[in-house]
Amino acid sequence: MPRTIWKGAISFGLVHVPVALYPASQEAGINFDWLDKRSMDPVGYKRINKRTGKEIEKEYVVKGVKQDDGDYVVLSDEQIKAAFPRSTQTIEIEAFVQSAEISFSLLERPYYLEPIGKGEKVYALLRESMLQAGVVGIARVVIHTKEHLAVLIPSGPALMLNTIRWASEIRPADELNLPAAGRTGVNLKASELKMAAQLIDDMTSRWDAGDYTDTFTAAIQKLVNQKVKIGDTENVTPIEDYSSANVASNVVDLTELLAKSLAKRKPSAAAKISADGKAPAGAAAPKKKAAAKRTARKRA
Amino acid sequence: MMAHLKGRPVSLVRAPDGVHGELFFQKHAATGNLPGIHQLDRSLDPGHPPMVEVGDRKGLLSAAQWNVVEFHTLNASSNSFAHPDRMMFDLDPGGGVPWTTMQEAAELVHAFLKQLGLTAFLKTSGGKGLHVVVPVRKVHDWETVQGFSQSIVRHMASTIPERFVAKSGPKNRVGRIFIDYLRNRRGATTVCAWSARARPGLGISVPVEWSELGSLTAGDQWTVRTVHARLGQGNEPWKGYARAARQLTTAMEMLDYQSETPLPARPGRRIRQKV
Repeated sequence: MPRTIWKGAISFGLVHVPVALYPASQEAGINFDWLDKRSMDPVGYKRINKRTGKEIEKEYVVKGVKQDDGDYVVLSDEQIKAAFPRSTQTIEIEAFVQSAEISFSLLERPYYLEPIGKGEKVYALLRESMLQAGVVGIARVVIHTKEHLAVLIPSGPALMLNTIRWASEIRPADELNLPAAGRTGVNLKASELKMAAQLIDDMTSRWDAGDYTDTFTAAIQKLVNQKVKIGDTENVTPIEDYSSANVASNVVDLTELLAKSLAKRKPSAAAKISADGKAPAGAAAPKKKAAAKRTARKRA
Repeated sequence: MMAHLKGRPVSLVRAPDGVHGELFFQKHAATGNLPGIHQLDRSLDPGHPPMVEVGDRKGLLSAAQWNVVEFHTLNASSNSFAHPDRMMFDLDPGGGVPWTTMQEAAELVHAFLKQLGLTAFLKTSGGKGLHVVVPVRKVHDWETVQGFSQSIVRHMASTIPERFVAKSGPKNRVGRIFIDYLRNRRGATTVCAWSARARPGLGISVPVEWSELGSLTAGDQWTVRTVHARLGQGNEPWKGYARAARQLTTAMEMLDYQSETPLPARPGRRIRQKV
């Protein structure tokens, strides 16, 4: 199981159900990495200043919001962080609604909820009573610094939480040229309806998600496996990210660093003629250093 | 190769079904009747079948007949099993470590050992990495040599954390180098100079001069196919090896390392070193 996103509670009225929140979806597709076909080196992006075309260090990048008149408002990371909703770690149920009322097009990302603490019984109670009433819960929840609207759904043994889009995120359909709702708009005949109903009935079956797989991924995976089998693979040496490396990066500097680190130790080694107890073979060097300091202080 | 092999307990990697097939790591050859392969006194490693050593050229041929590809030697000689005569550092690149970083790392290990007053010798591993070998006078026990090698690695990792890690495991060493000191455990073995490796390409572990480090291109630069061009140089790059063995005492003081077991009485115990 993946890591919990947070541990908190479902709450409604006076009821609290302690739960842990887990992501329920995973990326399963193929990852295509870019390579330079001449040398098989990894290909990456650079941050550039679009005017000069030159690369720019991360520390010089700030975030701006474009205004209608073309001006920008610049916000600092602190200002942005301060505007994040506080993670309340609760799933605050605001209403229960009939599950058919939630349009499929609103559903976004699924999560699992697992009872924690002594929450098992009340978890099951909520799940079963929702199932019996045929309802789902509408809740507000903060996940990864973002506030979401979500729907709480009993699903087999689990209570699942599915984030749903805000109404403002769905485009209105009225710009599209659609036939009016109802049978009369385009004059549907009874015989046509009957024929269509027959056809649908013939093709109606039980839904099993496992019956359907991503054929593209499977086809690519098959191709990849074949190439691996005949040894048609390229050796790509990953590139170390030197930007995170220390400034002292050449051998001469580092050798000096090592020499200095020894010089620093010498006095303590010299002062330490008698053994102070044991420094077992497994003891970490930094620890030993600390121990040496302590002894020195005691002596002083 | 015999110079590196002789008088040391070995473990042998056998590849009866080729290097892609199953490999057998054999420390205690139960079949003792191969010409040139001697069983050693059982008391050296109590509770196990006797260890073996390859005594001469005939032994090498016997081993080859027996599908042996890799010869690994212990850090101690057969006649002084309790006191290792070398300290071994295995530089193995983690994911994302370019070869130039390996070369720098080896150079840094070399420099640091020199600062500690120790002479080190370099060989390719025949696989991905490099081996740094420090000849040691046979006065320290296994625990001391292992413990000290560990504190050397820890010191380097804490001084240059952006290059070295002191913990093994792929997670710890992404883009950095783990200097493996565990080759200094009692009974641990390292592939012998001039041995081939049981992996595709059949790389060979070759002794090199430190001045050659910059021009090396890979740990398996020489292979069974190409090694003939190198045989002329032979063991010349390691010519000072026999006289380079030092006691670790001064170096241990410099690093503040204290061994749990005191040295045996010093006077009168001059032990001759052979390679």
